[in-house]
Amino acid sequence: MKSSFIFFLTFIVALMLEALPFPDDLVWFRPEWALLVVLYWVIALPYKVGVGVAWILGVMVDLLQGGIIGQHSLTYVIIAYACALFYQRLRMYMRWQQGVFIFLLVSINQLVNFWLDHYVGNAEPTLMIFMPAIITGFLWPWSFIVLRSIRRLYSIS
Amino acid sequence: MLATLSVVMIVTDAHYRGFATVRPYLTWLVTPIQLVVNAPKQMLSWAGDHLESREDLVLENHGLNEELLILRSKLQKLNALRAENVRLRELLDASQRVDEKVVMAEVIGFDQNAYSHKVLIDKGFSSGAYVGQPVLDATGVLGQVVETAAYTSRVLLIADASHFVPVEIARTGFRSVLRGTGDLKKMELMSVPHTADIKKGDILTTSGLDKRFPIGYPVGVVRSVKHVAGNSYSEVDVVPLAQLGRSRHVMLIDRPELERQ
Repeated sequence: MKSSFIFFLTFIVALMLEALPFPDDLVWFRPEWALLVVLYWVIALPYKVGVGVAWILGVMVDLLQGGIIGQHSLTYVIIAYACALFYQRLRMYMRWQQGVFIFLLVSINQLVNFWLDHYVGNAEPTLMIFMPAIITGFLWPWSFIVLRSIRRLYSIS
Repeated sequence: MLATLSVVMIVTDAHYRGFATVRPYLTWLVTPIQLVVNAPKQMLSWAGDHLESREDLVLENHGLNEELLILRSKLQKLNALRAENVRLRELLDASQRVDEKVVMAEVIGFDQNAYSHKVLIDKGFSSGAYVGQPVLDATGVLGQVVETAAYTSRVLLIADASHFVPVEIARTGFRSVLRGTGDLKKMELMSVPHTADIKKGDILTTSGLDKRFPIGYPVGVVRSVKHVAGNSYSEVDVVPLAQLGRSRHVMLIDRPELERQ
């Protein structure tokens, strides 16, 4: 009960960060907040937070960003599945290695989203689409520490 | 399983517009988040309103009074012109122009998607906003409503790469279509022959031919005209007049019935 409340709270904060206005020139430097949070929970507690939660969060992000409904839920499901598959191995990794893995996963997210946006006809090809993936990978160690301290504070396991 | 469901949703939304009716209600779910994120900004502007010094207010008041005087004197001329216009239109047997109703709205968010240029405003279908409604700011045409929820709507800016506005040059009446480029400070006028009379500084106004944007509102000003040998059309660079990235207060134009020419 308490744990699901904490999950809910962290997801709401992540969605608020997603909705936060960002300067127009820095739009490519915006990390994927929701992914950072959901991936932490998937790796830490794969039996409580899984693909279904990632899917719901993806739909919320789609509604917030006004994109095609389903585009983020699709990528979130794929990524959360990959994490749930490898969570034991991921926990053994060093923090920066996890960051690299997160970078790869967010790159998948960016590529699929780019394809879909291109399919509806409002995306121009640019390598900058990988910028959010790099930023998210860099932020991973810190978000990991913050979320782990939250998890330990409320002793969720 | 969920991935398949997502794919089905993507296809229904992108290809068949299947979520058009449900989407306003789904967006309800995230409206609180958007409002909470906007709250600090609202509080700051509230504090700014209430904590201003007396001198500043007096100064502002003087400025506004002066501006009001100037606008009033302009309005007198406008009234005469309007009467004349009505008379001439009667002579021509043309139908009267209707005055549009205006709903004020406030921009509460910018789109976080790097590919599309949309803003979120604080009026939804509960205030009468509808999809396709034209939106202006104080200086020009801003865009049109593309999505409504109960208390919020999304406005596609005219500079978005998927947005087109039919315009005419105020000086010559030459008609064309203005295309967004995805850059908020740059738009392109399409299919302008090399012989067309167009030069730097020309003001473009809506031509009303799309039956969506009301006629005669300023859209942009020509920045440069380039004739490239080998191209059949000139490249005309246009700067939008509306403060696309910065305007805070916008107007939703309500058009009770379509004007006929």
